[in-house]
This record gives sequence, C-alpha cells and structure tokens, in this order.
Amino acid sequence: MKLLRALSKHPLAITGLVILLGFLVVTMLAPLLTPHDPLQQHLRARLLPPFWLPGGTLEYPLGTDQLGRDLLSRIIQGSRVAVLVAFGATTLVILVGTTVGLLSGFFGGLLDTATMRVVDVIISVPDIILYLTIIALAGPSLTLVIVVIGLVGWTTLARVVRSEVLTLRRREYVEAARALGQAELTSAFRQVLPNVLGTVVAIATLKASSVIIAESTLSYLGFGVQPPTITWGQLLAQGQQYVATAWWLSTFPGLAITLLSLSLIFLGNWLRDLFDPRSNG
Amino acid sequence: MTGYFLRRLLQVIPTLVGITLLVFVTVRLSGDPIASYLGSDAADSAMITAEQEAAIRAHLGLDKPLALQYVLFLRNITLGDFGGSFIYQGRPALDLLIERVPATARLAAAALLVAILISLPGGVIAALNRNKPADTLVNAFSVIGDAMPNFWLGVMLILLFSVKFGWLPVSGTGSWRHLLLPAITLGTSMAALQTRLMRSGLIEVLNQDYVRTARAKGLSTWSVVFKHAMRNAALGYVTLLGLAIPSLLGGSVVVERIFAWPGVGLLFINGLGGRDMALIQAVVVFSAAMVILANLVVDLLYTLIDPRVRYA
Repeated sequence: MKLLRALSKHPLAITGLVILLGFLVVTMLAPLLTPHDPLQQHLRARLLPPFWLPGGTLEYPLGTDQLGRDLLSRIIQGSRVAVLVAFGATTLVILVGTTVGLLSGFFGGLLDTATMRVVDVIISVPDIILYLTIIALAGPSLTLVIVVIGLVGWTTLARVVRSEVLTLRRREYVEAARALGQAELTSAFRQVLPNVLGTVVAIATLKASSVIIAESTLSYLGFGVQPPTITWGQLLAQGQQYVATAWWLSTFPGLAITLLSLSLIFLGNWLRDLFDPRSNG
Repeated sequence: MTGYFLRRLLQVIPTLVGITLLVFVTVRLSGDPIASYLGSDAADSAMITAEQEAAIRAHLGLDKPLALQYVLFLRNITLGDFGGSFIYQGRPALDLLIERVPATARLAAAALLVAILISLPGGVIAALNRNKPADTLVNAFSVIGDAMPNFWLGVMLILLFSVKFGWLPVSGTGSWRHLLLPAITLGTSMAALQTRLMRSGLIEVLNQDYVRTARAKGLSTWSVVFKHAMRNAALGYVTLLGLAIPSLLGGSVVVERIFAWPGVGLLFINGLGGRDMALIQAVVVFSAAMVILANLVVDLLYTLIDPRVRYA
C-alpha cells in the first residue's frame, strides 16, 4: 500500500508499470490474441503495408512479410521469448549476484579476494563477445540463452551488494544478533540480506532491460533462439533485408523491444531512487 | 610513482591468466572441438574414419591431458600463436585479426568522437539547467538511448538516410560517407551513459566552494564552466573513456554486422558461424587484453591528472 502511494507520484514509473503489465498480459494470452497463425503464409498477401497506408488492410494491421505472414501476430508471438528470457536470466542474476555479493562482503578474506578476481576476469571480456562465444560453440537453445546471460550478468549486482554489506555488517543489530549466539551465516541471511533486498530489486529491474536487449541482439545476429520459434531480433534481421521496400518489417519489432526495455528502465530508476535517496541527482 | 606503476602492472597478470583459463574452459566445455569442426550431423561423422579423426586430434594436440593442453595453449598464445583458422585455409588467426584491427580502430575512433560530441554539450547543458526542461529533455534522450537496441537504431538510420533520402551508402567501406552511419550507431549507444556521468560529475564540481568563489567574482557562466569546473570534472571524463572500450568492442561486433564493416567484429561473427576455434579464441583474448590495457592507461592518466590518487 505504501509502495502504491509512492508510485502514484511518479508518472514515469506508472507508465513503465502499465506498459510492462500490458506486455505480460499479451505474452500470457498470445495464442488467443494473435489475429493469425504467426507461421501461416498467405502468398497472395505478401509485403502488405500497415492498414493506414494505401494497399493496407485491417486484416493485417501492421502489414505482412515477404511470405505474407501477419507481422502483428509474429510480434505478439515473439514477446514470449523476450519475456521468458528476461525473467529467467534476471532470476539467475539475482540468485547468483546476491549470494556472491552477500557472502563475499560478509566474510571477506580469501573468499572475497577470490570472487572479486573472478569478477575482474568476467568484466574484462565484453558481455556480448562472451555470450556469442559460448552459444555459438555449444549450439543455441532457449535454455542456453537464459543460462549464459544469467551466469555472465551477475557481476554488477554482486559488486553493489558486496559494498552495501561491507557497511551493514558493522551495524549494531548485526553485532547484537551475533553476540546473542547467532551463527555467522544465519546473521548474514537474517540480518543483512533483508536490508539489501531493495537495492537488489532496483538493480535487477534495470538488469532485466539489458537482458531484453542482449537476447534480441543475439537473435539479430543469428545466435539466439532458433526458428521456427519467433524472436524479435530475428524479425528485425529478416526485416532489414526488405528495408528498401517494406520499412514496417524492421520498424515495429524494434519498437516492441524498445518499449519493453523502456518500461523496465522507468520502473528500475524509480525503485533505485526509492531505495537509495542519494542517487537522486 | 614508479612503484605504483609496477604494482598496477603486476595486478594485471592474474586477470590475464584468468582470461586465458576462461577462454580455454569455455571453448572446451562448449562441445567437442572436432565435432564442432566437422559438424554434428551423422552424415558428416561418417565422412572420416576413426584413424583420420585420431590423426586430426593428434595434430591439434587434443589427445593430450587437459592440463597439458592448457599449458601448451598458454605457451602458444604468449608467443602470439593462436593456431590456424579453419575457415580461412589455415592462415594464422593472429594475422587475420591484425589485418582487421585498423578498420575497427577507425570505426571506434569515429564512434568515440560522436559520443563526445553528444555527451559533452549534453552533460554541460543538463548540469547547468538542473531540473529544468532542458535537463529533462537531455535525460529523456539518454533514457531512450539506453532502451533502444543499437542494431535497431542502425537499421532505422539506414531507412532514413540511405533509403529515404539516398544520402549515405547502406553498407561497406571506402569513403568517409561509409563511416558515418556505423559511427553514429556505435557512438550514440555510448553517449547515453556518458551524458549522465558528465552531468553528475559537473553538478558535483559546480557545488564546490571554488566554483562559488569564481561566480561571486562575477565571472561568466562560460568561463566558470570551462576554466574552473571542467578541469576538475575531467577526471571523471577520463574514466568514462576507459569505460567506453568494452562497449566499443562489444558494440562493434553488432555494428560491423549491420553495415558489413570489415573489422574484427565481422571477423568474429564469421569465426562463430564456422565454429573456428582459433579465430574465436584470438578475438576473445584480444578484446580482453584491450579492455585491461584501457583500464591500465586510465589508472595511469589518473595519477598524472590528480596527484592525490598516487597516495591513496
């Protein structure tokens, strides 16, 4: 309730939430909402423009591709991979990043040094190059895309959680709990963890937006989830081949990616300001 | 100073070793290199006999224990030998990479210039008009820049400037006109973050006492910003340029593919498509080395610009 009241004062955050919920509903109801079978070819209706242009028809609201497949249906179907990967990979990022950051910051010492060295190594290779290497060599699949993006992307979260834990673990209530005989590991999870969760949620929301971009980039380059499963990145790559004659094929899938990622950034920025008033510039 | 430099240089070694280990493990874990090489189809595997396969394994050193393979891999890449490329008729991977570096360097330099041309004025305008409409506008652009995948931006630029107006070529190299769209695509993707960091860096400096003094003396906003504040905000800006290297390298993979720009990124994509181990390893190690080098240079510039850092 408090959260809702805080939300009501931030139009951008509300916009973000509405767009995000819209996408989630569309994703869940995709088979019911698609006006056509996304894979069905209509060879008589090839490369039709969106309905408001001459030659366009409301039967295919956003137009059709080179095989007469309905673009709107394909974009709706493609949202499933985007949302699934964003959800799966971000969950992995939260689990790994929070655990590593918490333990590393709380216990320090050799564990801390070792994990920070691992972080140094991972951040030295540009993310996209690491994703592509693993996925191209192992063979692309939905599971692999989720796992790879998740297991490469936890470093930022781990660092932020670690630095927060470094100050939190010296707080009196943590020391008090330990003085009362609470085991170290228990106090890390019971006393410290709840106090970093806000930051975790904010960073994870922003991370989800970059996961969307990463997934679509992999698909665009041909190393994401493979056809016949439809992804936004694939749609855009196919559309680029028709950029001179059918602008809608590359424009609308990109717009979908941007909108979904924008909604997460709006929400994430608001959450960040909410949990960390200092970051409010 | 020399002591700091040496210490910093020594710290690089474990990271570099870690990266070679990461590359080695990734490539080995991601599937049998021979299967990758030959293709996993049953038809393909029937094409060679067990003896031939064993011969290839021995030739590539894959019959040795993993630990030994890693040591040999480490020795070879220290000597600059990443092996021969499968898809380029066995030519040394490092030679292929070096041939492509100038094209990527040209693209990266142009993109960096674009990013600076956007983020410097953008950040200054936003900082001077904090929480006013101009600031909001700059902020809106930077948020949209973050949300937009750069391959979409690239295709939209092609749509506008190549298809609709016919001003610029769709892809390829040759003249400065070929460079313009790729550089803008790559540059704007970095400009968003840089603008925000420039803004917050400058706001921090503008709140300092000496800036207030300069203003109180009656100096114009222009000379306060460019003579007094900028010099101190420069420290943050140098870090930015260091941060830009990973995004330039990662981004160039995508941008070179969009515009068929014949640099390291396109070479990498070709290598991935052909499951060319030597080429892939060379590009990954090269990228990581560039990132580490950039961080090292940034740290050293820091000590030159700001003497306080040396004693920290």
